[in-house]
Amino acid sequence: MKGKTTNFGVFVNGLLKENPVLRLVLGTCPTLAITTAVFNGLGMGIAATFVLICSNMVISALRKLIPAQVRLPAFIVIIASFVTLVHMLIKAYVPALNDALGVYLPLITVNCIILGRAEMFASKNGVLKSALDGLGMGLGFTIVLVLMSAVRELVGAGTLLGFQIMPEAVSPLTVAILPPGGFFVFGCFMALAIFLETKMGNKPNVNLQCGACPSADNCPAKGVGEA
Amino acid sequence: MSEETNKAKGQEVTEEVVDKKPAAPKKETKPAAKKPTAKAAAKPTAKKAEPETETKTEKAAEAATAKKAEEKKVWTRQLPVDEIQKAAAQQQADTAEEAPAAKPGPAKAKLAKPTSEVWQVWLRPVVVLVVICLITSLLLGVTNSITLPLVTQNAAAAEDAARKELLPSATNFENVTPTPLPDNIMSVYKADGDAGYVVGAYGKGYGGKVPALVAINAEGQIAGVKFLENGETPGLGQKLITDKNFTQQFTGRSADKALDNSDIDGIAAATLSTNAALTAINAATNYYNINIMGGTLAYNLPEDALAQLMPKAKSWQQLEVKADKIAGAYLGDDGTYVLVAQGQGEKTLYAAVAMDNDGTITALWLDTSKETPTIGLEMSENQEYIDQYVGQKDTAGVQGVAGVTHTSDGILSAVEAALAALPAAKEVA
Repeated sequence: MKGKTTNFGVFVNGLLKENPVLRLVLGTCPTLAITTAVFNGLGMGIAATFVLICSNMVISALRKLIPAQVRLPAFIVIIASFVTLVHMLIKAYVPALNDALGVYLPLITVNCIILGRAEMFASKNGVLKSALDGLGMGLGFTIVLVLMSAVRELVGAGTLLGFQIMPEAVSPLTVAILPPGGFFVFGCFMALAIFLETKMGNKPNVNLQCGACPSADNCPAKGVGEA
Repeated sequence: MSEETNKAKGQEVTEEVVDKKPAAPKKETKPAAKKPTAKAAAKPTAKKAEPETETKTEKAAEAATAKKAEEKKVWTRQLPVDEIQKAAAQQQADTAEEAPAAKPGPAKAKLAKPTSEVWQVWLRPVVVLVVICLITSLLLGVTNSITLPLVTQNAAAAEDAARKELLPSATNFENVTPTPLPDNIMSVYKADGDAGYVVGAYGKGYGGKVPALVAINAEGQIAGVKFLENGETPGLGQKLITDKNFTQQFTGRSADKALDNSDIDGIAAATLSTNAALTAINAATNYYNINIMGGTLAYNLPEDALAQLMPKAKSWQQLEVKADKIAGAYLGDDGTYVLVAQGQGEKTLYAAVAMDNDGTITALWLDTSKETPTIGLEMSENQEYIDQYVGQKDTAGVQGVAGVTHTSDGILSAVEAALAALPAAKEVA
């Protein structure tokens, strides 16, 4: 690991420099699937952030207890049961929220951002830092989802949050809300993230080896198989 | 959770297993208080249990542990989680020191190494994972048992509210859901004051079942359709729920006729969801027509078709047959039964099957007018195909027509439905 990062540094990390979607390329599947409408993106982002913060905290608290050999199954069990728990509680006590998020909540279990952060961060850091990391990563995820879905909804359906924005006469480019359009917008956003980072003076590592990965410092397999 | 608590918890897990060893005296009652650090904690324990060999045992154990810890480090070097590894080494040190204490005697101290290895490498992961699974299962089970009644209540309340929304003139609904449930039907509710019925039905969409509530008013019109929570694609198939323009086009339609794709504007890029919606609505209206309204003719068989089907009969009477997919039934004065059944080809099609009293098919008449031109449409004139049915009591030997699979299957299922409904027709007659 690098030297001590401040709590604020941990939080900011997830927004751009280690943005889970654009820089770590985690959670691509939900990103492509969900960003067809702004409301969906927002719902998924908030739900995932919530679970991310909580699972990071629980895993960070239990990190000394879980043997290295079984940490992945243990993390998965904790995350999955956490998601299920939240889903059941929401269903019972906040049915309105369930109507809005019902489809996305179970999907969070398989969101690899959560497992990725559990493995890369929460299992090595204290509870507070892990919570902040969860918050930063979750916000980074949410921001990307909302921006991507705004582009896709506007181009693909001519609406934003369900309100007609484009004149009715302009027929929407449906391909934007279909999978190919998702990949296209995703690629553009990744390029934009690297561009922004260069502008800010952090030259992203462009060599294609392992070291280029933003998580390289935390990665157990760093340098394995490289000359 | 604080770090001390963690350690204490970790210790507890370890001790549970250690305690199970037969010779082990019950040593630990207050682990948290007793163990400020792992090593310091182990020493007094050993002293209590084995005062005279304490130093020796301990030294041997410590040496073994140190070595073991070294090996362990090498062994797990590829494993990423530094902290976990350290914790594991620590834990191992504990166990190694406790083991000889539990089984006193210098000779037994030698066992420390293999025991700790087995524990550390094989048992501890299993135990920890099992404990985690047990705790989470317990939590889930408890939460589920608390929330399930509420969830069911919420769902019922939501459905009830949806019913009232669809048939505003009704104040109460009586559950008249039949058992066993017919195909694609979930629930049937009768509104008070003869306001109508609300039928819950589903079709298979892209992401599983697409459930819908279809309200049919006293005039036999669709009063409204509401699609319930489903697994369709957000932004595409989910428009069934969100797109009011789609759901509104069903309102006011007569329930006596099955709808197909040409009757409505589907949702772009969500063909499967649209088809599922149609299947659900058609299942609901079909149920309404046949089971609630008494199976009066949903299909008007032309007179010349009847004459063609019953060449020997001089007159015929209409029968009211209530059976799956049956759209009409006639009995000729020569004892010939004609049953009209609905099938699903490319679109909705009808087969009128003439049968004698034994159930042998004497003639078959097809309405495939909605099928694709030049492919399915001509099936009603394909004498070779139709002749396969004549003289049979079942459809076992019937060969479909190549390239017209959907239409062939639709006709086959319609004929089967007609054959199956013959006993019901005889009963009515």
